[in-house]
Amino acid sequence: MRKAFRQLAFYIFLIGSWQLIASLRIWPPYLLPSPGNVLGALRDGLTDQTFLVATGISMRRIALGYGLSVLLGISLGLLLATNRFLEESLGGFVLSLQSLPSICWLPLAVLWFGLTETAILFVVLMGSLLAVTISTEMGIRHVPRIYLQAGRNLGARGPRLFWHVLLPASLPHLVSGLKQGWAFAWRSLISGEMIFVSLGLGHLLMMGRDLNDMSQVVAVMILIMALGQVVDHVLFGRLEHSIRHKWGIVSFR
Amino acid sequence: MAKSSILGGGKNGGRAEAPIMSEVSETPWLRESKLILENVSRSYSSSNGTLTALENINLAVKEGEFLCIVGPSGCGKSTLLNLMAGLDRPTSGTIWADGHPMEVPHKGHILIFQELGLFPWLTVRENVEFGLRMQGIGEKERRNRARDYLRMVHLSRFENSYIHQLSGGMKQRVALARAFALEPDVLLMDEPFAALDAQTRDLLHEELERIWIETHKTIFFVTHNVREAVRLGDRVILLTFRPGRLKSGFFVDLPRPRHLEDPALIKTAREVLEQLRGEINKAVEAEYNRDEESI
Repeated sequence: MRKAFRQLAFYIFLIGSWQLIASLRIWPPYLLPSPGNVLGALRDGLTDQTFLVATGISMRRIALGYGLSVLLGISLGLLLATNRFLEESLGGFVLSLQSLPSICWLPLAVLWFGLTETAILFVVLMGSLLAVTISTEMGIRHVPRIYLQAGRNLGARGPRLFWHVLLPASLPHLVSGLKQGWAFAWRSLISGEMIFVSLGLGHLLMMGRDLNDMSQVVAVMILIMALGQVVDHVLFGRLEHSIRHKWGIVSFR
Repeated sequence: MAKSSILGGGKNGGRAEAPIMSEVSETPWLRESKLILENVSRSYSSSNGTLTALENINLAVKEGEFLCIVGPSGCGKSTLLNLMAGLDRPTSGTIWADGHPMEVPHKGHILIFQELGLFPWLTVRENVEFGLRMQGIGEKERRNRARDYLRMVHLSRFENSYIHQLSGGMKQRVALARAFALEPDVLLMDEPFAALDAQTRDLLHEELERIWIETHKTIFFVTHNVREAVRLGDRVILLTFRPGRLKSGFFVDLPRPRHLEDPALIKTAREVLEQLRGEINKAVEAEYNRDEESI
């Protein structure tokens, strides 16, 4: 309760100062719009549905790209964790690829796939795949041997051992990687959309710039922030809560 | 010591010298015994040389027998259990189960680990159901069976709890229920009660003895605690310190249910301990030497 109150107070202070500075008219409104202007832009965007359409398109892209990267990342992480040869050869390469900002893949993607949905999916995938891979590998490596021995002794082998023992046992570790992967995917998507793809939230940002409409730019920024937060809560909040509850981990982060 | 028969051996009072068996050559042993270890050795090689954990173990376990293995730390007790559970293979020698060379890993040999290995992501009941689920038994049946065995260890009220919510003794009982629910041929136990306080251990000894009398499963129980071994076992077998070899065996003929404070039990335990002392000293000495080396 106190925490919520403090947060509320903080936002009131933030918006209040913004309003104050804007009303001093040091900078013209097309450089620094007031909260009211931004709210207006947000309402306009929602009523004429441009924001909704853009959100829908962006969400579809991220669902596909992120979903694919989770699937591939977990499989690749499992391979790296269980195969010594792969770990020694591919493992280091994966780590160095991870240091490459995902938007660097855009030129390559455009040349390969053209200005298509596939290109943006590829950028999103490359943005989050490696984070998921690395955390899966680490998670599996950190599973106490006793769980594997117990699992095998109780009759779990092969894929069932993975599905019923290895995966749940590495979940606490894995979740942080999935979260990080999500954040990377979201960033990659927006930067990718800003640079070339039509429609989507990133494109909406650039459109605001082209029209010199600062209110729209800030409104879309707020929307992107809010969406990121909501998905983070819906997707990971529950998962983290359930892990905390089951494992009895007091402080998860 | 007589080495003519595995299962025989004269009785005198509380304990009797139990021969361990020197060789398995005649087939009748195979038919009579649940489990036979024939010249079993296991060694590990590393860059520092070869470590022989077990050397020439010959042992026969009768169906329904409660067998306790005692030895100092480093005598290869856990290695022995891993071999019998089929989680590891002997370097040489053969393990026979029900008259056949044992397959690896063996389905009917369930091991209760020292660290238990209960799964924190499952509830108590789901833990007990785990092995049944791996066998592909339907949800309803495995639920009923899990409930039966949870009742047996007095944990019915906790079926929906998670592992971290239980006390040490309760976790042990979950592990017992999880193993018994699979209705194993042989139950292998690796110092399961070592980390418990004395009262809880007493209680679990009683429960285990009761469950064993009810189910009459073959139990192979490893411990470093001589009194625990005498408290529980039909037969107590001593292992030597590195490499682990069979030293001697005792039949414990005390009536059940037994009590840890029973003078006859204490007397038997003292005799067994006397035999073991030399090995414990060797283990301690080896540890001191290693200490000095590392300085």
